[in-house]
Amino acid sequence: MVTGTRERDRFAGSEERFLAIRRVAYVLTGDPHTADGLAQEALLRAAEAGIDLTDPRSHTYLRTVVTNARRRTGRRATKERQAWLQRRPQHAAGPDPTPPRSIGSGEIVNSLPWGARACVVLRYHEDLSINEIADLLEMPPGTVKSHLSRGVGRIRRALGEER
Amino acid sequence: LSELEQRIRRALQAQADEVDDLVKEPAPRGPEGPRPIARFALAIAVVSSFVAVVGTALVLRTVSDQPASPGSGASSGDCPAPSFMPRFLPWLDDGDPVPAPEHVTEEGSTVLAWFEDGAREWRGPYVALRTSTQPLEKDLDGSEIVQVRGPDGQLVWVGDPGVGEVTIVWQEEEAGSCSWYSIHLSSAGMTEEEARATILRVADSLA
Repeated sequence: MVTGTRERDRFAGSEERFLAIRRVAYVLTGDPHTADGLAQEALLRAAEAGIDLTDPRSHTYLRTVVTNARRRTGRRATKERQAWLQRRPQHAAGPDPTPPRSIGSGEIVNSLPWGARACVVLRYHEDLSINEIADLLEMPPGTVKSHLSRGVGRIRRALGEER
Repeated sequence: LSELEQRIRRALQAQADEVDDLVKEPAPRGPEGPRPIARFALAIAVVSSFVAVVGTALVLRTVSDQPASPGSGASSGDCPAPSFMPRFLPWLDDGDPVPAPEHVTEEGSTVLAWFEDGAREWRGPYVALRTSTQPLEKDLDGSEIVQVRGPDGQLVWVGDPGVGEVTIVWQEEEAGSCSWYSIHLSSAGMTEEEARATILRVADSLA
């Protein structure tokens, strides 16, 4: 089978971009495997669109693809995450090697509804402005503010309950 | 940033750092069989082969989720679109028909939105009518009570008063799980009084 060298060149130097967008996808979805798939998919879209993946600005494009994909497959992603979480203890032989996760490890963010979670992640992980988040999620800035207010409020209450 | 915001930022950073190790664990099997083993190198090899043999357009066209373009359709949400809509929009002349809205759906809510000049620009003047499974807006305690379609509504400012972002939130319990509604006006340049009067007129026109 012929492998397209020119096509492969499209991905040259893009591993850093892949790892970065996979991190974003993970905090958005909470499921590493879904995140991995979304990151790959984003890279393929970028290659199709002729995006230079060695350019740090391509992260913006990748982030848009990942966010849109997660938004449109929300229920499936949630079910996959639940399946993954259920499977983990069965897979681990003996004690779970993962140390107990503190409330500060992001578990609270995982528990937020999609809208609040997306806004919190894009605001505090991706450093986007309210208007940038609104454009990306295709929702009014007022809704973004509400999601952020609600999400941060829940986190604050959860932290308060933990102390 | 506040201490809490800094803590959130650190928590997200720490969570993101976990993913490289976590993808090494087996993925769950779904009803359609095992998910592909997600590996970067494999993705490159697969796409390179497909591209070489079948052609870029034929292969990649089958996969969706390009960045959405303005006005593109949205996926199905949990709530149906409201059965009513405003008959008055502040930028229309009296008697002008209200144009068809944009639909925005997300988990647990559906939004119908009207933009001045038809440009889908969330920063510009727009009116949005939302139905959702929960009252999305911020803390409603202490907000002004106004009448909307019969029930008591609560007029709240999203953001700071005086910048023209104002929302009325109300509940129609007979609507079932999607019983929360809000009508939102964003119109920079309006005074607080103007925005309040305008949103009330928009709310009165819901039919």
